[in-house]
Amino acid sequence: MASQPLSDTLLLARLRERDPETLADTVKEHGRPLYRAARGMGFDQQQAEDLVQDVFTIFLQKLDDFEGRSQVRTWLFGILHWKMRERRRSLQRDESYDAIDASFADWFDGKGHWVSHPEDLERLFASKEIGLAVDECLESIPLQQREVFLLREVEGLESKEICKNLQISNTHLGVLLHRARHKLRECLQGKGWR
Amino acid sequence: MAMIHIMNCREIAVLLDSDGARHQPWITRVQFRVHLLTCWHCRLLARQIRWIGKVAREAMGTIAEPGADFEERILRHLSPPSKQS
Repeated sequence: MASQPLSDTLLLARLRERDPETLADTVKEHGRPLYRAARGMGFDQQQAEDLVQDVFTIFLQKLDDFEGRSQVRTWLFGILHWKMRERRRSLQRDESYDAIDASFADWFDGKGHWVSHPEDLERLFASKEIGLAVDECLESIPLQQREVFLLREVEGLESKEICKNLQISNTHLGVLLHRARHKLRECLQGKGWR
Repeated sequence: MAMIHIMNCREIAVLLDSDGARHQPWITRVQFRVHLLTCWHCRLLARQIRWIGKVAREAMGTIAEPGADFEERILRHLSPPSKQS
């Protein structure tokens, strides 16, 4: 438990000294995950590369202000989030706090029991076309829901890291995750994965 | 003695979908686990959620990588120009 903050402390100290090797290691470790996240949010290759470049530029500019209360990775993804918002005004906050997606509610009867069982999507896992279907379905999800889903499921960020970066409450994060997952589920089923 | 609210499948499904179980009081977390052990439908939903995460990770893994010199270009951009004497 104690080794991680120490490691980050050392890392930050070296980065503040602009140690080239540490900077290269940091870019190598985080550059491609940041690029992938930007691509997942619909930016093309050039835009994603520019965004990542901007993220590291700001990272170095603000390094002396960073108090080290979050991990470097969390901070980098936070910068990426705000840079993406700058570039895409449509990445607006999804203020919907309805706990349950309306179509999700239809799956249950008045007593909260399943009306029919959820689809066993996994049996179609071997299909070569599933990757394309998932890509298309991801694109159909509203941006903030998509961002939360990708940060959680693909980049493996902890809930508290996502909440900090996106400046949302844990409850709101849960609602966004639920809506993203349910839209993906419905989209995949709609494409015939049933 | 306070009555314990027994969660139904819909409430369990929302906790699953929102990654919400870990933030619940211990009694709710125990009930959540016991429910999953005994309810095939909710277990199927949990498996479906894991599967969706897995295929999303795989789909994102197929995104075209940036050029081989991606990191080098970033580092060049970050390096201050060398001072000329």
